[in-house]
Amino acid sequence: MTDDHDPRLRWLMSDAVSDVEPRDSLTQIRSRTQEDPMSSSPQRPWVYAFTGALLSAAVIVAVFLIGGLPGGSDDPTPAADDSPTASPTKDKPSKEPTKATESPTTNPEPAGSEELTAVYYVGDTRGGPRLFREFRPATGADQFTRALAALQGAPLDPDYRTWWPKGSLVDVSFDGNGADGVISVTIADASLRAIPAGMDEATASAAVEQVIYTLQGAAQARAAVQFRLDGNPVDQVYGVPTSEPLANGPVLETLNLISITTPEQGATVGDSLTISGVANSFEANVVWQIQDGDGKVVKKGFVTAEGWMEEKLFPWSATVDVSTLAPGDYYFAASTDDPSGGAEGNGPATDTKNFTLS
Amino acid sequence: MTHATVAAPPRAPSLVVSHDLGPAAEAALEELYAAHWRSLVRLAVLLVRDVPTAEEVVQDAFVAVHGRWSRLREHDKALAYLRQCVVNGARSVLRRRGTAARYAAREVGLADPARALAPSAEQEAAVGDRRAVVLDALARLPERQREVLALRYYVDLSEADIADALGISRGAVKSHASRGSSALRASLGHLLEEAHD
Repeated sequence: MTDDHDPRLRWLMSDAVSDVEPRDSLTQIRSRTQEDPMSSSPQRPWVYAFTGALLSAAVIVAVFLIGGLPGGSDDPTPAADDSPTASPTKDKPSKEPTKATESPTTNPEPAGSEELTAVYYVGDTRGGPRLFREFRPATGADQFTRALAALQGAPLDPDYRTWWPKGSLVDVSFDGNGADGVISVTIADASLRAIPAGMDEATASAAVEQVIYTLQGAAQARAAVQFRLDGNPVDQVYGVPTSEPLANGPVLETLNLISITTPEQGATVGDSLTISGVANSFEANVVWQIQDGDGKVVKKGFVTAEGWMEEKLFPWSATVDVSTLAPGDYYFAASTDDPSGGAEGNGPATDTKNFTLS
Repeated sequence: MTHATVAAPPRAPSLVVSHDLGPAAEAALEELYAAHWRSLVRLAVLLVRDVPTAEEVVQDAFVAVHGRWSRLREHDKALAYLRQCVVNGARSVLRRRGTAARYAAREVGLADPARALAPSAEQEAAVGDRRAVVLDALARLPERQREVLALRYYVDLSEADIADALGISRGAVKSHASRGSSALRASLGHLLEEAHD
């Protein structure tokens, strides 16, 4: 399935236990805490055991914390040459069940062609919700309908999510006037005007930016985006004012400062690993590492992006020799450089992917 | 995923000390209980499937956090500790229960496709059935995947917090989340197709 089912999965899991009303047990707990605590310890050795595990995990985690500096920019026009098509990692691992269950889109739109489409999803960072870019196959008559389909599909990376369930965005058009032009996108119904229960304003804003950035990518221009309903501009979407055509939010404050293009989440690779992505990092320095299944760092290095100090993200790429590594599951993490060591801002921005070495 | 076999550790002297904390620990325990008892039991139900076992596991967790109060004075730390106890307790329960029961559950799921797989649209599962199907699907997942999904989707923990809670690397969290949600999507396909609201 390519639809974004994550909100639905969340809902199903909460729903599954929503009728559980446990018995009041405070009295029992208290009577047990009055006992000699020594008597209970042999029954619960795990209380101690996981403390040690925790410590080692904390050390590993400290190496790469998800981050997001305020500010971060991206090329509005993702070039074809930095899409994952150029890499040897395009093949999905055969063990990925999504492959087998993937079915042609059930959207009523004409089939059109399937192409890799740049799409922005929302991920949580220490700086709040930020947009991450992925390339997803999407079917549609043109790049705009493909972008709309991709926005309403699930990201490969489980760290990301889309806030646009299937059927929420129904139509898109562009007047073709480049950066001075207007892209119109139509929401399915008036229920999308209000901020959903439980969504905070930063997330609502990120959800709207998802649409703006993704459609600007399709237009290859920083055109303004007008949200519409029933043919007319709509006053708000997810509680965000949308009466006028919207420019994208500041790049360095909206996007995560780094996105990995390859390896794609779940990719299977051979001897040579092409790592690539976009970033805006201090002195263009992107640091990366590969961890094995136990969280041990087995490779690390840095790569220089094509630039920094501008209001965009710059491409970076390198080839990593992984022929010395045993076949198996690995974890790739790439971060921006943070010369302050986290003392300023939110620390380094990070993106991560799982991949399998065949 | 491998799990270290746990040898009974030497008794921790701090337990004795914490026992004497008295009113502060009692008050804190009550506060934690009032705020989190229900949601922790619900989390445990996602992990162990049945309510009485879930209640037991969470009771154990509260007793354990009380014993550690000298080191867990902050509410957030205490809550994180409670969750870890719940996950670990659930795991030991499932181990004790043995794999036999879980294989049985799997068999039931396979033998009764109306529960495990998609009923046709017209025989829409009743609410109770839907909940049972979700819990069954979770029960069929590998342990780590189930834990990661419960912490991610139900508790809404970050990847880093899940890694902390489970004592595994963030890469492993991500990998379990990825595979677990794919598997869950596959087995809950029909429930996921219902309209988003």
